[in-house]
Amino acid sequence: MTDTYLRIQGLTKRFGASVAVRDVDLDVRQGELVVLLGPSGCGKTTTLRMIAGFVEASEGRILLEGQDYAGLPPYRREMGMVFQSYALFPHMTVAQNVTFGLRMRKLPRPEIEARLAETLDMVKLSTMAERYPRQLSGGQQQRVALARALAIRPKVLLLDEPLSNLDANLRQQVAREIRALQRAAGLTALMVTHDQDEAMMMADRLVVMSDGLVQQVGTQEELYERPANTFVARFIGHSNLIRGMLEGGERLVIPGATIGLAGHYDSSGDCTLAIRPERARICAPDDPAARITAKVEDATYVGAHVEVLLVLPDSTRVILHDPTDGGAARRFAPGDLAGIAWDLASERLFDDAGAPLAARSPVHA
Amino acid sequence: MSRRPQGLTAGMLIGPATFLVLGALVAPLALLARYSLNRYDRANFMVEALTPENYLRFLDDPFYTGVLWTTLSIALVTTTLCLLLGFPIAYRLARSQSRWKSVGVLLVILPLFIGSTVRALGWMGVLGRGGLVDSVVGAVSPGSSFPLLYTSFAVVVGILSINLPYMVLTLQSVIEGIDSRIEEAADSLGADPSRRFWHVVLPLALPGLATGGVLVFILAMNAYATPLLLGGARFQMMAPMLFREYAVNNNWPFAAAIAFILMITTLTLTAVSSAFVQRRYKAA
Repeated sequence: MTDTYLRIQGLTKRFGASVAVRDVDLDVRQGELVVLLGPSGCGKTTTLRMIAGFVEASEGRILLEGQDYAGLPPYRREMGMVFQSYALFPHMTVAQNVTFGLRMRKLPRPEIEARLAETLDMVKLSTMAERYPRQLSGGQQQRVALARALAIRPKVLLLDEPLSNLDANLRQQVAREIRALQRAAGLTALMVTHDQDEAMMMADRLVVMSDGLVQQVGTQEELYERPANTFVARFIGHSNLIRGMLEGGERLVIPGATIGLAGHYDSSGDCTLAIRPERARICAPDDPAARITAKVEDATYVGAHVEVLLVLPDSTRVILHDPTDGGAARRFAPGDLAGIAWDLASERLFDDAGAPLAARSPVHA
Repeated sequence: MSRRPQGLTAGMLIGPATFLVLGALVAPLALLARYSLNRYDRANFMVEALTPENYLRFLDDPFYTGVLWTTLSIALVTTTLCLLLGFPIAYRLARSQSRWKSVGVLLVILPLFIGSTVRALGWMGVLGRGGLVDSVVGAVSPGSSFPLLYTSFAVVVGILSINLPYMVLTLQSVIEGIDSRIEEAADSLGADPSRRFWHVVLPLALPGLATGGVLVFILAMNAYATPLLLGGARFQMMAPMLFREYAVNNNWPFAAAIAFILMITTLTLTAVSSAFVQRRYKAA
């Protein structure tokens, strides 16, 4: 990539004997919003804090416009940070909070006033300038935190779980506001979250992390349609994972049954099949399209679809989303046998190490 | 389940403490206040009266006002030194993530395990003629001596060593209450460590500094063993003088008046500084 703005190379953090972040590489383009996504303890926050300069990297480089930031203290990095707890200065008014960075830079007073007005206008807090943080609602405090970071016109905007302290019904709205502000300002931003919906909604690209390692980097569609391993398959959206033994390239043998795969794979041995609940359908057990039969354990109407819980012969539980309009699920009662069908495009097979296997259409299909 | 009126339960719970405060604090103080208005007489010691002469005698005599002034100066100096020395220690302890943190806290508390009299004796060994400092100076340049004992310096060092742990513990808990992310926020907004301290840490720690300062100031104003042992015969502070009037001269009315003057001075200064800090804090 020629237009890389922020480049992270081999970033590693060790705490004593344990490794929190292992060899993270990432290229971020100017104006891009990249979300680091992963379960708690996956190293995403430590990665962000290394970029901000709060945590010293054990190894690796952070290059911004080609300049190495490794030795710079946080106060020289020009990165605006929005904290999960907002971390507003409780003894300062909204205006004092927002202008703090500008006063530290000793900007001339008229310039500070102008930027204050402009920034408060951006986050729609112009009438709140003289209030103290404790007099504001959570959502307003969050916007002050954002305004404070934006006011310094940061080279990179860092967002650490910016939405997780907000009420659920406010989250989507604030997510869109942050996204709109970031786009309008053309800001390069890195955000950390454990919430998949938040990540999917805001990101240009996502970095899925687990155990200190980057599992996959890609757009929402890439992660969803072509997960790099079983972790991503399960973490992004939901996937039913079925472990078995691949035989003859197109049969997955599980205890008590054999699954007829849609594709042909040039491999053998232990494999994991990943099927998304909304990409498979339920059918009669004797339907020729059925790739396996399973026992219906429960079927729940949840509005958008019927959530069907099935048990395979090896007692693996599988969840399917059957459309409420014309779906077959309501014909089945708990205890009935049902077939599960899917096509080649919906089938993902991973080898023993968790890496995806390439499929080709079977010869006789 | 038996139901009891809430007020009764609450009354029973705070009853013993109320009784204790009334019996052990208010009553002796009231008695002392009464004594301070009595008249002293060489033959009969204390004579029933209602006279301000004990207070007037104190305020008229430059010797006594001088002692009050010395006490105030020593208390203010030690309080200032406690704040200056205590803050960095407290800050490091509060922000420490190390597993040695509890050891550090223990080291701060440890001096409190030894009473102030024993510690003053220790300082006498360090500062006195033939003591540690004197011997070292004597060894470096033979013939010269450097006795520090029985100086106001010795008293300040002694009180400081006793009061510092209180200051550190008070400040530590206050600093721990300041979200470290707030400091990081200042950091990311371009505040270097010294400006972060002046603009963020200090204003937020101000209530704690006030509490610690008041605590240490009161302790210093009322110090007894330390000035007595380290200050020597000619160095006068309020508490030892009070005791001498009471026990040696048997002048209970005058001792009672000294006690009230000491108490009122301490309370007034404490109230004034608290009000000042509170206003600063609100304005900041």
